[in-house]
Amino acid sequence: MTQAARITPPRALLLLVAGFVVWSSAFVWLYGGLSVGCAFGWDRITLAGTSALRLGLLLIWLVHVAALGWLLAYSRAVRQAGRSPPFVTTAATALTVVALIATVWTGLAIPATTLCI
Amino acid sequence: MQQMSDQPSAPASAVALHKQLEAVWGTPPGLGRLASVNHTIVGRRFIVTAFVFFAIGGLLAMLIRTQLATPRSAFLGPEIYNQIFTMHGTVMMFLFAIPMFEGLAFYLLPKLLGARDMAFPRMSAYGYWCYLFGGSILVVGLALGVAPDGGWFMYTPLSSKTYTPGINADLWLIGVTFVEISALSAAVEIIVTVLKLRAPGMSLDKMPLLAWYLLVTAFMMLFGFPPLIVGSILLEVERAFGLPFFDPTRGGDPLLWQHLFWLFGHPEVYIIFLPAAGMVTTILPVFAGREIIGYTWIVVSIVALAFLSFGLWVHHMFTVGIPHLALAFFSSASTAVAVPTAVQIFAWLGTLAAGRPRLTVPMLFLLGFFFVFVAGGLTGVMLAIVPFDWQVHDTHFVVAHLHYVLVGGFVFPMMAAAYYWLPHFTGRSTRHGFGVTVFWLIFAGFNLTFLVMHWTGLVGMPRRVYTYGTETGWEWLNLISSFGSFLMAIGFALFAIDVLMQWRYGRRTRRNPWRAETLEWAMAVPAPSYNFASLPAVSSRAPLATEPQLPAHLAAGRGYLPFVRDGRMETLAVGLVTGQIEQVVRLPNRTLLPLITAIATGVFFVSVLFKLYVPALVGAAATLAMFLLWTRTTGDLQDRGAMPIGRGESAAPHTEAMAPPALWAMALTLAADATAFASLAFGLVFLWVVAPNWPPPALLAVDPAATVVAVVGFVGAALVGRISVRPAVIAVPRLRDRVLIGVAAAHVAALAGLGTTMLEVPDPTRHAYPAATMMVLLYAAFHAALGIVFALYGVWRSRAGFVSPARSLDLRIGAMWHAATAAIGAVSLLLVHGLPVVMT
Repeated sequence: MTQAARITPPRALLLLVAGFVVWSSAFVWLYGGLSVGCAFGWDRITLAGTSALRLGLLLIWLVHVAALGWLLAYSRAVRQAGRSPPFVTTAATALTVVALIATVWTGLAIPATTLCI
Repeated sequence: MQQMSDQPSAPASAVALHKQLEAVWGTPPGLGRLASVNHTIVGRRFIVTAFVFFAIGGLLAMLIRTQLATPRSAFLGPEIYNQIFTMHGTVMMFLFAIPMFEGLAFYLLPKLLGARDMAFPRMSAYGYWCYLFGGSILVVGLALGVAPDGGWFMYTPLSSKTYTPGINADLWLIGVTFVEISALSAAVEIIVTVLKLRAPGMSLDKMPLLAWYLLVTAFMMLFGFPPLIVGSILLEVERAFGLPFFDPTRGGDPLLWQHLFWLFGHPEVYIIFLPAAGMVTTILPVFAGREIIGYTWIVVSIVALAFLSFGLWVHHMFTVGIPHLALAFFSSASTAVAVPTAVQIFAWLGTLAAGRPRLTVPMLFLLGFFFVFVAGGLTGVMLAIVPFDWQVHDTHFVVAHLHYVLVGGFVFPMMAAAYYWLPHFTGRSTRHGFGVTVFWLIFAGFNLTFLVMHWTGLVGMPRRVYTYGTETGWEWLNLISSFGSFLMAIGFALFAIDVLMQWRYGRRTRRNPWRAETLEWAMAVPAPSYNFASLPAVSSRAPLATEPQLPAHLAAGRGYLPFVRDGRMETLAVGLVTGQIEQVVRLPNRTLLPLITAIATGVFFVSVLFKLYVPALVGAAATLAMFLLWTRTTGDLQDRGAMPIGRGESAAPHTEAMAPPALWAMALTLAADATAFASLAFGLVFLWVVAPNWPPPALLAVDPAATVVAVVGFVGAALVGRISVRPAVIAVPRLRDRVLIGVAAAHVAALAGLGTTMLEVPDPTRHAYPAATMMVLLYAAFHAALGIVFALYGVWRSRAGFVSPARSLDLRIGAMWHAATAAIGAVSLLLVHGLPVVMT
């Protein structure tokens, strides 16, 4: 492995927190999107058999879940290629898995719960 | 570049080395102590002062329990009672818990990491004085009978001018904001110290877990405190000048305060818990007789917990009328946060189960912590479930829960830590029997007080009522709680006596009395001012287990920097992840400047408190001038090149390094700054989306010329600032001066554009829209004004000889500020001009 291909600090630290940065983004976009959507009445617009707001929130949720899936694959690749110290890559992979579970858990209510009441 | 290859010779003996180091690092007694910046002294000051405030908070709790012990008690009237419960919460949260964490971090971190001091010793001292002065403002208010009386969370509209016309709420807003300066400066300092000032070889995976805990906590403070500071400024501006951010009749919203407060307030719970958990993780393996189980999993769980704790704040607002789906988001995060906490608890239990535990006094308090904190965590999960929360909201059940979490999660571990590290502070051994009595009194008293209080809440007793009738059925429950609280108070009083007795009459202890394996025990106790006569090379997580002779070797000067070079105070900085030696950091010596600067800052805050705005401006200017004076003794007037550091190795001075601590500090400060700005922007958007009485009666009139001038100014400042750090520019003194003056001119243009735009803002007292718009513009203008100072400071440093192609730190710090100012300016203009277009 060449030196140039290694993940160097502070990028190594960023890898450690990247998963939960994506979770934070999901949380902010979901809560912000819900608040703005309710204020603008997007819950009353029907799109593809459901409300536009619910559809938008599902999209936000799934995009973040997909981003975490990609990040998990990237973290594992970095780990397997030995491009960063083992401790950092192990912790980064574990944190990405935890962030993925937390993101799925956060959005589980989107298909089921009332939106703006 | 001039190469300095002179190797300072190491003294012939350990005693001679000690004398040399003590002469430079030591602090003279008497008034000279006021100038101290040494981390051991400043850390001790924080801890002792925090204990004094803890005693004051405890006394207030006794008054509360005396009042509630019997129905229809005439002991306290409602006005005084309101002040007392407000101050009890405020003192415990802001003047005890956070400063105690700061004090322990300051005292322990350099010792744990194998360094000689914190990264910015003068900031530690300045932070201490701000804490002392800010806390004193609140306590003096209490003594004068004008203390805050709206609850420790200062909810609006109760704390607004209409319902709290006196100075009470101002005291809270000013005093707490003053104290928070110390919290933010401590956060920056702790992060930089952990990331950079470690012993050579101490890679991230060899760091003591306590350092991980303190690092994560400091990051949480960095992002958690700015929303409260912004909220406090907005509320004070509303109270002083009538700008209606929280007044629903003029487009404001009391819920904005709740959002800003709890954005800080819930992470605050974990900011208090995590350092204590770090103490548990450090102490427990020592008495379990084996290393901690699951190092990596603990690191993963504390990082996860830190993030998740920022997704809980609305669970304090479950009853304010938020959509079900939003409740579900926050309820899910509230339940999820229990998982990483449980991971740590299982790691501790596993370590205990796999080891051979010794039942010492610190261990007793750890067992107490397990019982109380787990019980508090379980009632926390109950409260995270929305329907249950609705039932017990604002009852004594919540009071019992929060005390189980905070006393269990902070006070019990702190007591364990106090008994564990007391020999380090005093150099004397603890007495087992006395400590056991202290433990049982506190443990029994606490549970008697608060276990019963769950029932008091479940049968309906609301919080913050100063009395109740005999028909309620709450008499016996309250009487038992009051009895328990006095038992607990006796326990704490005995603890104070135990500490004093040990300090005064305790037997001298040997080095490392607990047979611990971390570096803070590799030195004489009480600790010398310089910590280590020479700095260790670390090869494992348990340096004293790997190398039992390490303390003797370090004292004999067989580590790094076993000398004093030119009377300078030096320590080493390492690579962030690898722990490889990177630079020699020169630290500043004792000075009265932090104290004088804190006094100037105090003039500002006290003047604002009494609405004396001219003296306030003088105080602010004096503070800025003092900070500039700090830099007279920093930096080098010549290039030094790599310097010998002992053991046949050399390293560059920090002034010539790629990433010196000050550069990290600037990046972190800007991160906190961005969080504050985001909180302000959130306020404007929140009000527009949610608050009643919108749209506003009049919008900001667009002045194209002013906008263009401001944009050109901001972009110019960033671009020219970037040019100012190019090697080709730095190499030509006259050119770099001109470029820096160009940066200052660009900021002046931005300021002029913003000033003209502000003239177009409608009357900000009429509606929250112009009020929030004005605050956003003022925020950007403040940055442009400071940008001028940074640019001219660069010119001064350049002309004074502190800048060369190798020594460009001052200019690089300035360039970071200019870029951040441009970003804030651009977003501000986009917000104030773009939002009306989108929303109308």
